[in-house]
Amino acid sequence: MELLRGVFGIEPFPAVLLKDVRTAVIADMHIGFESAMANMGLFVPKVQLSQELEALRQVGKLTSAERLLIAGDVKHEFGEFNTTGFRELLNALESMRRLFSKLVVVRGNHDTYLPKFTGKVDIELLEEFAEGRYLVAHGDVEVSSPRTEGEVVIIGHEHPVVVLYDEVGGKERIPCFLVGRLYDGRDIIVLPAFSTLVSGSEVNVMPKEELLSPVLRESADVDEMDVIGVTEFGYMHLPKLGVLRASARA
Amino acid sequence: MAVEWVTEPFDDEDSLASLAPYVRGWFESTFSQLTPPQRFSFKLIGEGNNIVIASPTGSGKTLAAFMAILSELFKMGERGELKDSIYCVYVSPLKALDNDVRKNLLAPLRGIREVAARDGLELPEIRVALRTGDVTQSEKQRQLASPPHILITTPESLAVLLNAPKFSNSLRSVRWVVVDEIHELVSSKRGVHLSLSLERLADLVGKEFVRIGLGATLHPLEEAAKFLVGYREDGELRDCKLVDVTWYKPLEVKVVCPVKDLVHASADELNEGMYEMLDRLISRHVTTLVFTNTRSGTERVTYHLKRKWKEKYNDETIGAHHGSLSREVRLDVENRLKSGRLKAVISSTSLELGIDVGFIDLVVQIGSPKSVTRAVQRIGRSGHRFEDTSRGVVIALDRDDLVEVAVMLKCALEKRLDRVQVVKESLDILAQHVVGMALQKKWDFYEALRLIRRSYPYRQLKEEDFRSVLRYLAGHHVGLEDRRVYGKIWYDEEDGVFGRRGKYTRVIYYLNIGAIPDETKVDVYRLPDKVHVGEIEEGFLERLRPGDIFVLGGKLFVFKHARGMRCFVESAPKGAVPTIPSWFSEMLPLSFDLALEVQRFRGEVARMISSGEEKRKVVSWIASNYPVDRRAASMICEYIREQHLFTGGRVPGFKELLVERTRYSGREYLVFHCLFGRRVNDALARAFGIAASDALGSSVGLVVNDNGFSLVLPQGKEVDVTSLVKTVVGYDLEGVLRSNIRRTELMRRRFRHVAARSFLVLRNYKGYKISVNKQHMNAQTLLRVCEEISDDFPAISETYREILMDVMDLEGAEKVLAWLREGELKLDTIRTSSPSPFSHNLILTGDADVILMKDRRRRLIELHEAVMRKIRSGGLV
Repeated sequence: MELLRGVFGIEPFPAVLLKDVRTAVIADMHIGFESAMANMGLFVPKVQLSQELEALRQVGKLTSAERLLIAGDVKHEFGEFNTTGFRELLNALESMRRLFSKLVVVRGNHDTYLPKFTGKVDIELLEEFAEGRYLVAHGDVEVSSPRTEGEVVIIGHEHPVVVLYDEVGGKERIPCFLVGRLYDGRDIIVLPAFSTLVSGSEVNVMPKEELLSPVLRESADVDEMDVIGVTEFGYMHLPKLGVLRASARA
Repeated sequence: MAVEWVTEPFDDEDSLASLAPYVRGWFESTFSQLTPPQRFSFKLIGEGNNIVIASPTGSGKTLAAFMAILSELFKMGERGELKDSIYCVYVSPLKALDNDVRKNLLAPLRGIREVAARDGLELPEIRVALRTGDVTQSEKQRQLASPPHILITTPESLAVLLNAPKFSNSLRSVRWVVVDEIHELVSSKRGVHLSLSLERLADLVGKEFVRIGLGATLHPLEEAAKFLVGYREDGELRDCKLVDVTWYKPLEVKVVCPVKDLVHASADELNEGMYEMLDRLISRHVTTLVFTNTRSGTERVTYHLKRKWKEKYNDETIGAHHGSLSREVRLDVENRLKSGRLKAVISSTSLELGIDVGFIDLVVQIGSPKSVTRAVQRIGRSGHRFEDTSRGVVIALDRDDLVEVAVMLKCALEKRLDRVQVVKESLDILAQHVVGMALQKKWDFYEALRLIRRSYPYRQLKEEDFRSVLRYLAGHHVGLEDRRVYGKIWYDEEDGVFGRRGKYTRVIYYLNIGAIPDETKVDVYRLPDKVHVGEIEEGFLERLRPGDIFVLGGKLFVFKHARGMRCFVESAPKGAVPTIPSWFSEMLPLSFDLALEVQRFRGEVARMISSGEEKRKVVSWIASNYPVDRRAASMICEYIREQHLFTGGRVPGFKELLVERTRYSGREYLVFHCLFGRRVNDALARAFGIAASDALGSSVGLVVNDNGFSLVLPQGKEVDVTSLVKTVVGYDLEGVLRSNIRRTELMRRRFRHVAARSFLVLRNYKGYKISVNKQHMNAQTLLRVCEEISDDFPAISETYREILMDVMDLEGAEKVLAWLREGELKLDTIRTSSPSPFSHNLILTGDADVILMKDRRRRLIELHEAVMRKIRSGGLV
């Protein structure tokens, strides 16, 4: 499903394909989340990585992409880095590297110590990915100014989620793509988190000032953004974010 | 097995003769007579019998339990056999009670030695010490150096002591264990926790000790006995004597109404009336104990009393008491109460647990206490001496309360209590003790299982369940590398042995032990300036939708959004009304037995009304047969008459189920007037909700309370009641609920607490407190992940068990369905254009939940359609 010119959603996954450069893009894997939780006394069993790798396997099959680009936060865990975490991430990177011919990681705010790995696995580590029409960044800081005409910005970091209610009080939280425009005219796509465990920003009920990404807070026309929900059965086309927010207030 | 009732007290001479002469001498010089429980206990405990004694406030319970023990200890001292070791452990669930008991033992201990000294006999000192979470480090050192002979403690502290490397050695000499407030423990997970501690203690001691249970009245008392004594090695229940002297104390009770018209009185008028009434009652008595059912209620009442009558009620003269207050504050209130300096104490439930509160001449209960037993226990707090009458007044705040309490108090006067509900087989509590056991030594699987099964609640523990707990604690569900962090024990399944693991495990055990879950508080901030206005519970936050209006600290707020553990609201506009009940999680359930009595009463009054009896006569009948004043009696009559008029005579009476199809606020409701108490209704509501959801192919909302439940149907959907009933009575109820509970929000709420008790989510770990880790991950996600691991992940199966057995009353619900099936419970259906009087509370006040549609794909499609419908109708697209 085409989200923007040349950018296709890889249904039903929280991933997009940049067709002309044969690159699959995801964001916010947060590998090692469970370890971080366990270190704080929340002993959540480890299921995330195997689920993510399986999803990536299918993404690879569906698209025959040659390159996997991760828009930040491939890992979780700030600070102290333990050996099991190190090994888990290394194995994960090696597995991903085997699924795709090239692996590129754009640095996210949780991606501390990543340079340690560039020696061990063949990955490219960047602050921002700029190639052709595409500018891919994490989204935790403002992005660079436009380089070309018709540039498309892709970020993660926000973990956008919509909270939907039915008439009898049932509630669902659905991760989603946000597709829209920056004030400077560029197109922008916000990727949902690839991680199945992290919490997200409830974009249809929270005020703009509370959004995590300064790109969205300061530079995007948030209400005009299209919302595409990501469920295991496929994408869900929802009205614009502004409309969803107005209806939540009612 | 001998659970033997002892109904004839012994001669005073007989009782006193069983004590050492100096003990007898002290007692006779201090008291003029023995109290009723003492007339049984001196001799029975002296002879080494296990015993449960149910007796009221002011009946000399402490001495009833300890006299024979002190006598024996002093005799040992005489013989030079008294070592520096613990001989008696006293356990109660309340630290305040522990404090009191310690103080109450000092006088006899001193007095007995003085009497002996007068006869030229020098007795050694018997040491008593308190060991709770509040005890200081230096005090603990002192106790280690010089162990007390009598240790006074709480269930949690006892479990910690069993694992104290050095101190636990002093426990090997224990010969008596006294368990107080046993009525409170029998029906809670705290009791289950204690029960395992007692078996571990018995194992440590290596031989049987005498078990003494004390408590207020409960029914049937045999359950308390079994809980206390457990099973022997040979599989037989240990022996126990039963004594019940609770009914010696006279009871005077009544229910009153604060306004003339409960229906039309505004919330303000109702409040005004209630406070006026409270003021009148408090002023006319020396010291009043006021019970509300919730902590927030306690805060509110205390605050408003102080605000309205500043001179009369202030920090000097009244005080609030509940579990959320600091230890200092609580202790201060307890002390001032005891020394008679307080005019009133307002409490939620903590003072229901018996401390020697000094002189209280009136108990006021605001709102229904929900069970006859609880009413008797609370009102029984008044009347200090044994012969003093216990006086209680219940202030009813709505008409259902009024009807319910009238019947409840009549049952109390007739000494008809409701059945106690026993909690069993909790895998989360078991997990805690397994960690404790592993810290002590290496265990053989069957050796450990045998010990656990000696405890009454765990008598039927299945081998597979024990094994799954061991596997979980050993971290078998994560890779070998991760077991260093996830594993709290190691477990060799092939060899069938387990033991401790991990350098933090001891600390985890000490800091996280206990059955009381920590309610994670969510901070509430008012926009736009983000002023902190209070706290709500995490479970409540889960239920809130943007736009919902709720009460906090007496004010109304509109929920806007939340992030993690912070919630943002705005002040509600003038004239707004709450859209969601604020205190749902704190509501106590009405008991099944009492619910049937209320049905009977409603049916009787309805019959009188429909046969044309004059209102005056009906009111007189009610007022003379039930402990209500004329005004209350009149309101009860009016309530039932309104229902009668509104529905053309269809008032649900005894064993009559009325299903009312109605509309309210744009929604379709199917209201089941099904007065069986919340626990039974929880099961029935979900069974009917599941049937309706499957029949309609959509999600269905529920509201459940003591008087019935409502199904909230989506727009345009109708369901045939008769076929719905037919489906439900044909259900294997337990099976249907078990396989569908996952679709409800109740699952998520309960899982939160079970996860904490199972050490899956720690309260306190390496300096991190629970609120920090909750920021990152909610219960729903954790639940989903655990399910993916395995079906019998202990935290999950315990959540199911807790819901089916403790939250719901499966047995009661099955009985109701059997009655329906056989026609003993008569079904009647009506359609009304707006809700009938009886159904107001069934729609607006209750525990709300949702039965999600089974097919997740369809559910998402329907959800999408609902969203689009709402947007189109709002003209937004």
